[in-house]
Amino acid sequence: MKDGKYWEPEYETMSREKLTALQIERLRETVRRAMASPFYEPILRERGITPESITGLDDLRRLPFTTKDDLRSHYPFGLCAVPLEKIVRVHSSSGTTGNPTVVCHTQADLDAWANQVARCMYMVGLRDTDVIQNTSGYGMFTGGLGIQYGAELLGAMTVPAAAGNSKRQIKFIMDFGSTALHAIPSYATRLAAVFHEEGIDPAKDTKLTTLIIGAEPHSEEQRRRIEELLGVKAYNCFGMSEMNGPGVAFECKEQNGLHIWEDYYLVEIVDPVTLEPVPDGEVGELVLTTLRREGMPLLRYRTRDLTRFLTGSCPCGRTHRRIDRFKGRSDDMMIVKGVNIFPVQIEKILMGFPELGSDYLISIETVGDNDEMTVEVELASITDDYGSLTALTKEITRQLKDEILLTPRVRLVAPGSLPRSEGKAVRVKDMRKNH
Amino acid sequence: MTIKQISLFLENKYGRLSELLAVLSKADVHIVSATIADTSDYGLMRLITSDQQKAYKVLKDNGVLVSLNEVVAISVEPQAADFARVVELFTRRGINIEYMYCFNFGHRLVLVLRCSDLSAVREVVRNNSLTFVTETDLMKM
Ligand SMILES: [Zn+2]
Repeated sequence: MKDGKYWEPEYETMSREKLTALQIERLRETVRRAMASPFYEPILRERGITPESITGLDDLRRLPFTTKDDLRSHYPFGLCAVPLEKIVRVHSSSGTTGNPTVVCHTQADLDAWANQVARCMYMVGLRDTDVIQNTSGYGMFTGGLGIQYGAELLGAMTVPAAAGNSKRQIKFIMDFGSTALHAIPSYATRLAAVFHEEGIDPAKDTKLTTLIIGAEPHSEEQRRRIEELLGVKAYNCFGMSEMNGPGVAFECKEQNGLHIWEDYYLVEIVDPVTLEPVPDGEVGELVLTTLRREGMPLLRYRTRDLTRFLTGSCPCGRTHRRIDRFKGRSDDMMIVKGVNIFPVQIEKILMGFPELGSDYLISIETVGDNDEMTVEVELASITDDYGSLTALTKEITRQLKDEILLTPRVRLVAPGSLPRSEGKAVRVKDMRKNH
Repeated sequence: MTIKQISLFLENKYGRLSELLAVLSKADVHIVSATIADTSDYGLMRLITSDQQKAYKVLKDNGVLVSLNEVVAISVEPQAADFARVVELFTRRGINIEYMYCFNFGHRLVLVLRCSDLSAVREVVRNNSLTFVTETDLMKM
């Protein structure tokens, strides 16, 4: 099939100028499609937005935001922008409360999705000679069929093993000579353990070279550990069912940020409270506008995922911007004394101190008329020097103040003393009266 | 000439000290001295036992935050004048004492000093016929 460095060099390495022109043209097309959706039509009409009125990317700011609640309250087909006979597949994700969300795909949508996934796979060196085994659940969950069709378009041999049964997974890996796996990080770790139990060294005894890591948030250390355990290179994959599924953004071989496909999505990173764009490089909520979707175009969809743009160009030559590993959910944001604070900001500072462990607890309470924040953090090591503990507390306080613009009370605590719920550390305890 | 001292991090929380002592009791060692320096949030407990390696290992294995460090222990008559003489000798030699405490050991008083210039300490002890307490002495308890 293809033999160059890129799956689609004309798009992947497109100049910013051409990419912008393409985005404007596609945004206009998206608005035109959205006008056929029962949900968007009245909003666009009221705001006087027509395809012709879109002349630059700044016009994006005039478009309404869309939230998961909008999708829920217009269940199932309220955002569908084509007659239902054009829809060839629906995917649905269940919510813990209320209606599930539904995404409707035309055949062209499914083809575009498969193309994005194939582009991601090609980017990390997978070819038609590879054997790709998918450990995602199939069915309504997009990690199954999404990876499946992408891998088939790439021309690889696919092993749709689906979720579970680790011994069977390992048998397939051995018998079919699987070279790549798609798995969530916790399952990859589990598989490594089962390999070990079976007396098989995945690094030596299998043909595995590549792991596509889906869905679950994980740290860089966890990725490195999985790479070592399985003897593979592991690449981060970002997607969400509202935006098709896997393949929206993906790491290239540099493993430094995920290229987000800007010919398919308009990308914004905004302050979750003011909804204004944050300066490049600062953390905010990822907001996506689909540029090619026919069945269900989405305007300025608030993903709730926190990330930031990585600045500078990527050595791989792709011009599509990179976003950082995900930093958490915007729902985690706290407003203290009028300042927006994400737990991740505090975590970043604490992790910079080798004397500290990885567990911490942020408590906010009302004292008099004021909100007071206390940061308790577990110590990892001590010296006999009493003064150094005091100095450490002072330095943590100072750095936190620089980062979050208010002065928390910092308390050093013994390892293992902070509360955990179901094995997971509790990070924030908001005890304010109005919360 | 120095002995090992265990420093451990102690949160000012109800029951934390009892927990620590319960752990220590597993080590089957005698406590020679225990002092606590504290603020409102946490304290640093300094501990000398009859077998420091054993005590250190038990505490560490039980997840207690500990460090092992060197201090000077000098044995004197339990009189204020003898105590004062040692402090005077050290001060006159320009040795900076970071902290000190003492405990009774037999019929003697043991001064525990934390100072950085150990060669100067050795010189003062030798020139003035003072007596170091060694770990072997402690083990005889
Ligand atoms: Zn790249």
